[in-house]
Amino acid sequence: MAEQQVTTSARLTRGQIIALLGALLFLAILAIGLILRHQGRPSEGPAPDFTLQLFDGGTLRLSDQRGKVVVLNFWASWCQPCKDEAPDLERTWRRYKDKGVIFIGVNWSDTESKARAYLAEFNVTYPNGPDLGRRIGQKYRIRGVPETFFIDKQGNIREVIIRPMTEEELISRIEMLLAEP
Amino acid sequence: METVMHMRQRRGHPHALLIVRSLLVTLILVGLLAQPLTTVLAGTPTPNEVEAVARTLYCPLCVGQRLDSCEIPLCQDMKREIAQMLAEGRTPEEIRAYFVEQYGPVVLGEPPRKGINWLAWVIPIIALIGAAVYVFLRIREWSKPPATAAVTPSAPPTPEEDEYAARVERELSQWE
Repeated sequence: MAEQQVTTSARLTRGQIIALLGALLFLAILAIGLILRHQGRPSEGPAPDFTLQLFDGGTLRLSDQRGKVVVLNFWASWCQPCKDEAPDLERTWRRYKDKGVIFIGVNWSDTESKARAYLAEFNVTYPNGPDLGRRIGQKYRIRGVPETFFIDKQGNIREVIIRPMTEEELISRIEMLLAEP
Repeated sequence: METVMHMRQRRGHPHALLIVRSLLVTLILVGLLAQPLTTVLAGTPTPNEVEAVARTLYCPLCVGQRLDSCEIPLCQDMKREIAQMLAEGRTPEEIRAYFVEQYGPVVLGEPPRKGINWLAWVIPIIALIGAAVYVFLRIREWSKPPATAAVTPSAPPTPEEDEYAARVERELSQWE
């Protein structure tokens, strides 16, 4: 009888261990998901690389822009604050485009026809392309638009602004990054 | 003679008529070719056809909101794109694939069944089966009559048990 009890006890323990491991695995998956979901957007360190398919044709790779100051702007045609900052972005781009600065527009969660109409409406001339599959947005962990990342000549994120920007704000940040070696 | 000339003028010159007819045919052909042939063949989709596709897609910005019941500007633009693509003769499957390419698998409302995503489908099933087996085994174990009790006669009390019983009796008698 004692032997039988020992056997039953051992079997139950094994079952409990399996159940416990299953529960732990489930909790680990949940925890990883929660951690990833609540990870903040990168505001420093190397800027995640990406390749953007441009609306005008061709592609643009971020890592190929090393040595330039990069202003990376996420926008959408349905976003009113994006429309507010669009003329300022374009004016600043025209001012700095031959001075070692590149603006990159990433069209996030939008439809292509509306995005093209937006670019035409605001006469946007800097490189722009859709965030296909929202992969770039995921890399930069953006939650909405507009969001603007400032990347230095070494390819590091130096600042992220989560609101529409004015020409003066853009100029002051670009000048600061341009002054660096 | 004059009368015949007037009649010809009223009916129009045969060469002029030919030119006008040719121009009309050319204009119609140009008009037809200006839009994709598929548009002409497929025609304009009905709102129900658009809704049917929209029902299988989810808003990429909202949480768990189906496209057909979503009214934010992006969803309205997406529904317009669905209508346009249906008019071009694209199938619902092609339209879904297009939106997955644009916004990622979030528009399907469920993880795609490939790679590590299979875990999301398999783990709940395995957990359910495991739980059912565990409950079944436990119930079977509980519902079994205690086999040893029927077969084994109750053993005579050990000296410790005797002593314990005597003590209980003593203490109980003090209370009475």
